[in-house]
Order: sequence, then C-alpha cells, then structure tokens
Amino acid sequence: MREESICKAPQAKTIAEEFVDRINAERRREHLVRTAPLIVLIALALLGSVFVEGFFGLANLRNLLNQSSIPLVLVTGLAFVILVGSIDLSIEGVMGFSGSIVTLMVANSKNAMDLGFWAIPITIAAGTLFGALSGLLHVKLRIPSFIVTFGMGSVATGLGVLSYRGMPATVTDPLFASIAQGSFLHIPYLNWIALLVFGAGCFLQNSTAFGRAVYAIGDNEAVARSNGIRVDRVKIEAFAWCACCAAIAGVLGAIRLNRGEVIIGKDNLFTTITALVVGGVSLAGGSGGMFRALVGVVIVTVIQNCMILIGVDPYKQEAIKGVIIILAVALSVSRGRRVVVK
Amino acid sequence: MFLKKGALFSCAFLFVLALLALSGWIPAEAADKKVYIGMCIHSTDNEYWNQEAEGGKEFAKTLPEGVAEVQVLTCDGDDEKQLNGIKAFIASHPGECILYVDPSNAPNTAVIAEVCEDAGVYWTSVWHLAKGLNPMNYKYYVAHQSVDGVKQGYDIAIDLFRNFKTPNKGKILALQGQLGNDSAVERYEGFQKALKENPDVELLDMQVADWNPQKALNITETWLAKFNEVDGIWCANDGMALGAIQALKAKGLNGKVKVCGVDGVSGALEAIEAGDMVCTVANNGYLQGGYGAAYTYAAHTGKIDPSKMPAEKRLFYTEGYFVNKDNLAAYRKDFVENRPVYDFDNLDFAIARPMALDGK
Repeated sequence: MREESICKAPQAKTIAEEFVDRINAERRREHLVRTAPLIVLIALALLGSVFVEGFFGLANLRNLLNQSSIPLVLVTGLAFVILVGSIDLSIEGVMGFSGSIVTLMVANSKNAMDLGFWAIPITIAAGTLFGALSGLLHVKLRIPSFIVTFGMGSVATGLGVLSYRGMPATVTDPLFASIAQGSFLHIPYLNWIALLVFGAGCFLQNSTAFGRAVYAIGDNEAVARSNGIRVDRVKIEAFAWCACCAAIAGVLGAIRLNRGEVIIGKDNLFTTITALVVGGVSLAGGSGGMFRALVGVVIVTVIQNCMILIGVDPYKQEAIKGVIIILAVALSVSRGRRVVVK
Repeated sequence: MFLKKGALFSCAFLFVLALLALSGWIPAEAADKKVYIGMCIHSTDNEYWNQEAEGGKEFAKTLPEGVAEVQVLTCDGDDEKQLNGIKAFIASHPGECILYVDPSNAPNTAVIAEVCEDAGVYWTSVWHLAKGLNPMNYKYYVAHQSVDGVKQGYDIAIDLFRNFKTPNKGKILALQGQLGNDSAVERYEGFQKALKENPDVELLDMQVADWNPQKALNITETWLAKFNEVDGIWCANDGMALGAIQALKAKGLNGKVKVCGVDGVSGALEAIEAGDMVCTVANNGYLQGGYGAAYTYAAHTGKIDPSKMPAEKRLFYTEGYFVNKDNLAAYRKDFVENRPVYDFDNLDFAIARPMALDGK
C-alpha cells in the first residue's frame, strides 16, 4: 500500500520510470564509450595525415597493413579467451614455437626436411594442441588460466629453442618467399591471410553456437551452466582457438623474417592485450567483440607507426605506450558502472 | 584436522630431506674429485650464448674423462633467477664447483662476487662489471673479460661507411639494442665515435628495436615510407640487421642500402655472402666460455693463484672476430665447419689487451 502511494505522488517519477531513465542514460553513456575508440582512431588518422610526414600515402598504408596483420591474428584468438573471462599468456610462447618449427619443416639451411606446404598445417595443429592442453588443465584441474598459460608459454618457448638448438634456421624454400612477397589486388598475401583469420573470428563470434556460448559464459558462468551450455568444453575450445591463431601468427612471423626463432613471439603479448583494451574489449569478460578488437589493433599500430615517423625519442616511446594502456583501462572501468552490476 | 597436520608434517619432512640433499648430507657419488663447471648464460635461444656454453664444454673435454661436468644455468636476463640459480648450484656441489658467469646485468656481479667469496667458489665474469667492483679485491673472483663493445660498434660503422656509393658520405639510420643494456650502450658509443670522425655521414634517425628482428623489420618498413634516400642502416646486432634486410628485400633495396651488425650469427654470414650485409663482428663465445672456464679451473686446482696475478691478467679484453666479404671463407672454416681449437694451458692466449677499470 505504502509503495503504491509513493508511486502515485504527482511530482515524483515512478520507480519503474526512474529505472528506465537511468538505464537510458547508462545506454547513452555506454554508446559513447563504445564509439570512443573509433572516434579516437579517426582523430589519430586525421592528425597523422596532417602533421606527420610520411604517414599519408600508399607506401605507409601498406606498412600499416603489414604491421597490423600479426597483431590482428593474435587479437582474433585472444579476444575469445578474454570474452569468456580468462586470459592466455602463452601466445608469445606458442607463436615463437610455431615460428621455429615451421622453418625446420620446410626447405631450410639447417636440416634436410622438406615438407613444403604441409609444414604449415602441421605446425598450426601442433600449436593448437598447446591451447587445448592449457584449456583442459585450466578447466579440469581448476587452475587459474593465467598461471596455466604462463607455464604453457614457457613450455612452448623451451620446446621452440630445443627444436633449433639455439642456431636458427634460414628458410630456403621458395614457398616462403613467394608468400612474403606476393600480393593480390596490390595487398600482400600475408594481409589477406590475416584478414581471412579475422573473418573466421567474426563468423565464429556471430554465427555459431560457440560464439554465443562464449558471451554467455563471460557474462555469467553460473547462468550459462544452468542453461545447459557445456561451459568446460567451450572454454577449452576458446583456448585451442587462441593458440591456433598464435600458431598462425608464428608462421606469418617466420614467413616475414624468412627465419625461425622463438624471439618472433616476443613483445607481442603487451601489444595484443593493449589493442584489446584500447579497442574496448572488457578484461572482465562478456563485453566487446571482433570489431572493437580490430579498431584496437589499428589504433595501436597507428600510434607505433606515428611515433617512429615523428622520430619520438625511443626513451619516451615506452612511457607513452604505458600511459596509453592506463588511459584505456581507465575508460573501460567507467563502462562497469552499470545499474545492474554483476 | 588430521589431514592438515599430516600434510604439514609431510611438507616439513620433504623440506628437511631437500635441505639434507642440498647440503650434501646424503652422500651420492661424491667419491671421486669431480669438478662441476657452472656455465651461467642468459638463455639458450641465441647462437652466441650457446657458443659460451659450448666453449666451457670444449674446455672440459680437454681434461681427463669424468673429471669435469658442465652444467648450463640460464637466467633469461633476470637478476634474481641468476642469483638463485648460482646459490642452488653452489649448494648442491659444495667445495667442488666453479663458475663462468655472463651476468644478467652489471649490478648483479657485485652480489655474485659476495656469494662466491663466502662459499669459496672460484669464478670469472664476462661482459658486465658492477661500478666500483674489482676482481683484484677478491680471492675467488679470478678474472673479468669482455669484448670491447665500443670497438665493435666503431669497426662495423667504419666498414659500413666505406661501402657507401660515395665512400664515407651518405645518410644512415641506426637500430639500437635494448635501452640501458651495457652492450647496447657501448656499441652505440662506438657508432657515435665513428660518426664524429666522418662528418659527411648524416644520421637521419635512431630507434630502439630491443634486439628483436620483428621489431627491426617493422621500424625499417616505416622508415622507408619516410626517408627516400638511405645509404645504410647501422644495427647493434645481427638479429635486427636480418629483420631490417627483410624490410629492404620487400622493396628491392637489399644490397643497395648497406647493413651491418654484431654477433656473427649464421644468418648474418649468409647475408654477407649474398651481398645483403656488409659486415659483422663475431663475439667468439667459444673463446670466452672456454678460457673463462679454464681460468677458474686453474685457480680451483691451484695451478694459478689469483692473489699473485697482476691486474692485466685478471682484467682484459678478448678479441672479437670481424667478418666481412674478404675473410668470410676463413671465418667459416675455423668457426662454423670446425670448432676453434685452443690451447687452454696457455691462459694468456685469451688476453687481447688489458682493461682499465676507470673506462676504456
């Protein structure tokens, strides 16, 4: 009765109306935050074109495409793991491992093995196994994902180094050179491959039960479980997909360098996570998607590219990158202030 | 409750067992007078670091069989990991181990010196030395050796300039190694010295690629969009040089834009042969690792007494091996197809020139 009388008070809004208002305000804010990365990217591109010598032009556009291919592939994989609310720190290791072993299986300066094209699918399969194993250990033994994947990354790095025993192989197979230097519609093959992987990621996210399950788990694992989603299996698949992408990235890296060593994977984790966060994929899981990941990758690549073109003192570059990631996280925190906090 | 107690007890038991094992209380096969040589290197993912470890093994091979066992300790550039590795190594071979240390960072050598002094373990260091630290003040710190990084950076730069279209005149770019790393700083210093001596060579830009070929590739790619005329790229190591060459290849500029590096890795030798790279300096890890181990072994067995040795025999530079097209074949024959053979009885062989601690 009392509630009713409050609701009927002439000036005050009803609780329901207030709730709707707040949700609408929240939606508007969220919409703004959601489009913020895209606005940042457009602003960066405009500023770069006007003020940075050498930024605007076909040659540099091609550079941006080249330099964003590997991060894009990595982000396509890691996004799914982050969407389920976990993290995969093994991508550098898996990437280094794949980049190392693929060069040993094609014609190279180190051994007599020459599997040609088949080296690539074998390598990707081997890399994927690392992810599947990480997922399995994470889910079945209930070990936090960052620890499992951290360890798995070390294992992969170690095996990678063992594979070439410290003396990296130089690839002599013409296949690598033809992929590295060939292009279709003036865009290098490597970029097409990266875009293909990204396209596969978009398909997985939007058009498959796996994609929907990933969001459901990231949003609320308990609800997902009670709705009959096989949470464990989906998680393992997410880790396997992430490692699969890391393996592809490793192969692309080896093709680009024409040489295989575990260092190929180094420094990619930071860039990948930065790209996801800057693009607006929430580290808490359940929020974000392929498009935001793409925007994040391009933003990070453009910033790195501009800093080199401007000739920013290398001593300051690291600091600037750090500031960017903190700003991005600060932005994504405001996204968490919802009416309904989970 | 019982379970918890049980777990606690078994943990304690295991801990005690481990302690006993570490302190050598449980006699294993400690009958013969074996020496364990700990080769402390950064990691095994680099040819040069492997050479250091292999050098130690080559030295061990010159001793009667079973006398020396080489163990490789890696630290991945982590001070704490290196220190803990060394402590554990000393604890597991009390009184019968010696160390060759490629320190993770210069300051770590001061701590390692104290640890080895306390434990009575003979050791030598290479490359990095903490400020104010002097082996002469220690009984067990046998020697410190280094390859002259300034000279390396200088030598490759001079050869690079010499190979320009118009010798000693042109525009260049520089890729530096990890910031704050001693080798990166020294090599860059040598490069700047060469620049000063050649005023017609203009430095367009310097970037840091952290020794990483992938990063070097990306930076070079971006550079080529900005700078139209480049005569050469000075790289602080071969990995970065090879990355830069890949970027040049994509534009058909390999061989036209001259590139140099340091380390003498096999990829660099191939690039020199192909004409994509001008020169490199091999650090000769075989010599450093081999003689580093030989010095400590000689001290351990009483053949030499560090306290009676003069400074020039305890602090010295070793010779790097400068490689360009002219001597590539000779280098390959001695270092790649064969292992260099050294007379480890003649310890003075490793000394190229003495090192003054106040600078160069």
